[in-house]
Amino acid sequence: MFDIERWTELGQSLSKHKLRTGLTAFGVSWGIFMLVLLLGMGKGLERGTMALFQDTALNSVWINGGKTSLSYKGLTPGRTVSLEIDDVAWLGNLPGVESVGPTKLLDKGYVMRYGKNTGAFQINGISAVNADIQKLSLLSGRQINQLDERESRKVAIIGARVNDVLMKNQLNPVGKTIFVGETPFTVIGVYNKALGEQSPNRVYIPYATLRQVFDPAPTVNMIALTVSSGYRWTDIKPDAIRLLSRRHRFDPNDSSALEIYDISDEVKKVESLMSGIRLFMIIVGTGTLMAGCVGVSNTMLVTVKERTREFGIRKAIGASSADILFMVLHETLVITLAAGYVGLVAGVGLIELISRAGIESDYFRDPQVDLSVAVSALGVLVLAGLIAGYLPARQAVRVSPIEALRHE
Amino acid sequence: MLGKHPERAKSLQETQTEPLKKQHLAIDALEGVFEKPMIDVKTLTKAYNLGSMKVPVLKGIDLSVKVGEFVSIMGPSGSGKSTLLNVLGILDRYDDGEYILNGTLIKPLSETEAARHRNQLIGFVFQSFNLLPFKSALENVAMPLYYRKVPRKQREARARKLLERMGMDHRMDHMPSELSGGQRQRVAIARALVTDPPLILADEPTGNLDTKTSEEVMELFTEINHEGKTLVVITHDEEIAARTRRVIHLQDGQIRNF
Ligand SMILES: Nc1ncnc2c1ncn2[C@@H]1O[C@H](COP(=O)(O)OP(=O)(O)OP(=O)(O)O)[C@@H](O)[C@H]1O
Ligand SMILES: [Mg+2]
Repeated sequence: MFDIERWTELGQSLSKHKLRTGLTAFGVSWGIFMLVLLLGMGKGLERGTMALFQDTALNSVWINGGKTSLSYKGLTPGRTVSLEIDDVAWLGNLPGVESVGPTKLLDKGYVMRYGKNTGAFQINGISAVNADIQKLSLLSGRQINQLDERESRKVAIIGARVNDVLMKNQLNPVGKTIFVGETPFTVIGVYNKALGEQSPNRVYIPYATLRQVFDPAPTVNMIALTVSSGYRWTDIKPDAIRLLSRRHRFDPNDSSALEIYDISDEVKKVESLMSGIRLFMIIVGTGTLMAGCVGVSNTMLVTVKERTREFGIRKAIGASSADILFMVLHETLVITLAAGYVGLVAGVGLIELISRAGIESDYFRDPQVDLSVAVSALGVLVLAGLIAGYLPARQAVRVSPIEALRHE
Repeated sequence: MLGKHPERAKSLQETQTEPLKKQHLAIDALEGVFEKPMIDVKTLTKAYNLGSMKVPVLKGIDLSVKVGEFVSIMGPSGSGKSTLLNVLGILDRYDDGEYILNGTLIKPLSETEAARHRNQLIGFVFQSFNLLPFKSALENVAMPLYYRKVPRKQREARARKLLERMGMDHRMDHMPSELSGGQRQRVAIARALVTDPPLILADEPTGNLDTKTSEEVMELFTEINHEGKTLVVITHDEEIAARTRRVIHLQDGQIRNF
């Protein structure tokens, strides 16, 4: 099919009609460019949102004590349910619970000192299990482990901000000793991100140590548990609620007695939001594509109509209808493919640039383009152009050459 | 064939003398080419559809033009001259009757065959030139050869030769918009000749030209005719008609006399 004569003729026809060629090309390029951008941004949104969960075990559940809203066995509503360390052990015995641990955040800040530097920070007691669930992302050092917990060691993971204030951002604070009041703690790690914190300015220590040094009360703020594989939280939930309702005496149907935060549920919510966004993108994308198709078709329709006289001349000097149809289709194919390619490259290039520049926020990161979708979209546009070129061209070559020549 | 006769290949500048013309006629007669008709039209009719009305334009044309003839068609405006020539050039369809071109019945031709016949048998010269505006003179002339699948080099060589013959050596790369009417018509004539067709049809080729240029164009046609080509030319100009060997008068869609 490669006929050099046809290509030179085509090159001339396109280059001598720059406006016509340009308009058609622009329509296709723009359509594909916008589509690629849309798809890429959508992907970035999806990735960014999913990344919010990446530091947390997706099978984890957080339980907080709430306030009762139903009366129960003669007890009035409005009582505070405060969870205790024994609840942790009881929950650990339930089938389907993989691991469980307490968290206790002390309300007031404690003054800490390193050398001459001091600052007040909040202390959060967790167990080795929580360290796992919460996946503090460490800049250096290690997580709190079982041994720290069992022996109530005076060890601490400090936030990067804490490091900043106390140790003037020392490169390796691990192994150094800081004082909380008069109690020395050994720094075992530095973290820069943790669930539910805007900036890393807390100090994490073992829960057992916290009780021993700061607050002997057996209460906890929150219990974190993970669900064994093969189980879902919904399987375990009734047992867990029954257990806690018996221990703290509230109606098992009292939905406000406990605040339960199921990460997998949140993930599901976000996923359904995502599928909503995806649907939205499909609609907008299809709309963009259709607008592109209409644009290309319209340009093709008009240009082919405009060329009726040219077709008449060509026929008068011996071109057959097939010659002319082939010429129109060939031109359309070349313009739309080339323009589509340009749009594709521009779109992918821009997305790549955004991705490289590291533009990201809580809900957006690392945008990427699904090439197969973009290429199919291009295919649709090319097809639209071909059909919109073919139909009027067939109409134009059907009439006698003299009629075509009369066309203005 | 006749066209290959060395004496016929004389350039445009050389004026034809009467004895020479007679000599051609003698040769033509000798080879008996006048016997074979190039165009054979019998009771041909054509009507235009104007809305629901049918307006008859050609009302039974009988016409025979032999190979090598030079014929002019005259007649009042609206008498159907262009319509007839378009039918002869297979640019338009006719309704009834018969049109045999060079031995082929034209009516049942498929579109592809019609295109082939237009390309191989006919060179058409329009009053309004009908050049492609985005192609240079040379490219316009070479165009019919493109549809004959002649390679580019050969196309351009042949087109160049014809333009030279038309005295257009220095205008080959000009666009039609950069040419005068006479120059455009020369390009159009060169294009009609480029495939070396046996039949040249021209619809008022001098209609847009001044007297001097018209003279030159007719000179050219006479010369082409002497090369053995059959010519049918529509004209309003008695003087120009007088230069042809036969004048056909058309009136109200019918041929009045020969
Ligand atoms: N496309 C058309 N549709 C309808 N009627 C037409 C069409 N073309 C020509 N006619 C009519 O057919 C008749 C003959 O037209 P034609 O062009 O053949 O005349 P002509 O002899 O060439 O005239 P002129 O000397 O003015 O060029 C005219 O009455 C004209 O109005
Ligand atoms: Mg006319």
